[in-house]
Amino acid sequence: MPEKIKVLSEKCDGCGQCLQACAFFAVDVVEGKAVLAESCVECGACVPACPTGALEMAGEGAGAKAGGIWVFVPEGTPLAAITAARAVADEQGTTVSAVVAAEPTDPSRYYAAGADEVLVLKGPADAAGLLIEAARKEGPSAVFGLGLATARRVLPRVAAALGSSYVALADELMPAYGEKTVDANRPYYSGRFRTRVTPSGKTAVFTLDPVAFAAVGRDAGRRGQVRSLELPDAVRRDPDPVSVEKVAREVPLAQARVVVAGGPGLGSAENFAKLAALAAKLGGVVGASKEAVDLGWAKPAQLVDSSVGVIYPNLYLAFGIDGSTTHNAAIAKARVAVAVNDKPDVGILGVADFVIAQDPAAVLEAMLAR
Amino acid sequence: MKAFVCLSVSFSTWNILWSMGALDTSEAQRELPVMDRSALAMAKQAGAEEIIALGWVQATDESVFRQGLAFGANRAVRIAQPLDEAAATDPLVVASGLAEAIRKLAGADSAPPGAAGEPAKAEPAKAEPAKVLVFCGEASAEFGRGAVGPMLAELLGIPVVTSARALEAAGGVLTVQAWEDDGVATFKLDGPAVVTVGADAPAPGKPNMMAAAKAMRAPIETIDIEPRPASLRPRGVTSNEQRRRGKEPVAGSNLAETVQVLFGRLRERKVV
Repeated sequence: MPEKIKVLSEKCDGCGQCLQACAFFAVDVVEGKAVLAESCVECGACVPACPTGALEMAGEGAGAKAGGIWVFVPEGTPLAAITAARAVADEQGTTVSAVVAAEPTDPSRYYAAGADEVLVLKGPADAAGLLIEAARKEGPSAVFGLGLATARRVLPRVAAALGSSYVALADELMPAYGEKTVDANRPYYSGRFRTRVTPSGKTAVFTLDPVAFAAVGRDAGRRGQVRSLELPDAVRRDPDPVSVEKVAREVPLAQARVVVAGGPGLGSAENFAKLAALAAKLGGVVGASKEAVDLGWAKPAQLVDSSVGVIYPNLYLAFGIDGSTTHNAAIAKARVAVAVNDKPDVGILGVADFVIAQDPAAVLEAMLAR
Repeated sequence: MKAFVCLSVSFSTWNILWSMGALDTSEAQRELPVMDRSALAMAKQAGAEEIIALGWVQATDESVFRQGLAFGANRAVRIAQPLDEAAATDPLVVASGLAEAIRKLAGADSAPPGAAGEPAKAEPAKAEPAKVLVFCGEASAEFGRGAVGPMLAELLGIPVVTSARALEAAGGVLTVQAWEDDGVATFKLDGPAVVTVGADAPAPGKPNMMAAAKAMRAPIETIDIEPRPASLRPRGVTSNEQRRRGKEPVAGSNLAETVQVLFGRLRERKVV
């Protein structure tokens, strides 16, 4: 019989939530009360699922299990990585800890997203230092983070300090049932290909593609607990900013719904600059071919090219772009691509859904006048 | 202080062949990624006494070092040991090798380099934090998508600022503007650090002819670093190849009508 997990009969109302949480079919409800079977591996997944607190895990925090999955959640960032970790944890029969640097005012939203506990790291160090020290002490099986600025700075540091595998911007996670390993798919050669990798070592570290992992769970019935970990010896290395200007970062090309892009066929920087007005009209952003960037018409951040990455817009409008192999690979995931180009035999014509074979600058003017 | 700029390779015009899960990159053309150019520009702005372009790329990709020299590096050093596919795409392997190389080169005199292909002068690794500035183009061709910079910082025991978009140097202090989750943060750095350079940092255009010609004659040094074992096991490659689309011409009797027809079709597809 399981020794660590206990059913408090007086609290159990036989609702069956624990049955659904158990990946090993090791819970049953008999005469209105939960009963744990011999096959229980004491993963602890049922404990936070119980809405009445009738399941208790001895020796550890009720919400988390040693060797569970940690999710690093910088302040003010989406909780989608918690939801992704929840799916993996359910396959593996383990738990999810949302790791934060400050006591949360509303921990219930972390639980609703899929966390079993909120782990507050306290100490004089920066986020990377705290996370490294905490991971050394508690040995999570994996550390996840949504691939935004802070996580992409902190988590590689953690992987380097622990000597762990690091998977950057995974866009698919494939946990092995009942095991601790997680295979991941990630972009390869800047998104033209994808590769599946298996991390090795004790604590694998992953950042998750924010587009592929955008969903946040909203299970209001989930319960959890807040736990603090004091780390006075953690090392501070990274500088604090002297100031922060709260500005919205331009929507990255990879996340834009509409991309209006231009190339040398527009004829001049002045014509290229008009793309911004059309992008604003359509609620999109401006992209550019490599030639337009090289001409100084656009910033490198606007480059549409698979050497930078694949983009996923609903609509891609290309004015005066001939369509190199790398450009066309970058727009392969666009739902609809429109080419405006008056040259007869250019690469983009082979990949566009619609083609307007007229002077790009004139068509742009006509669209703006519309 | 010496500055190191970590160079990688961008596959600019691909002829990468994919068949049965294996890739053949032999026909692909290589060049220095745009963000690595930005990193070289920032190293110059930082007023480093010497800029060393350092990379762990194949000998056949030596052209990126020549471009690095043309864009302002004083020396170019290539890690000589070849990496297999698994190791080359594992940011921890790359960062560990670069960190070891930086420690060795930071300790060495900036004496005239040996002839191309000969190991550079080096000293044993030191445990204390490295006294260097390191610049990396972020999310360029390295497969860690911006991971090598922070890993280097950890392995060198120095701070890191990521996604830098601008840098100024005054009185021995670097003022760096960089993207954080909630906006643009300003950092002051007065010592060793790693700075990863984001996509919206200014990039130099083309080098002038003199610099390019000088770079063609400059030696590319090599340094020996034994790679650590790869921590990621590749399990196969799948293609994200473009799907062929049915080209549909859009035309009207004049431009205004053509535009109207197009937007009608886009509305049918529910994309506007």
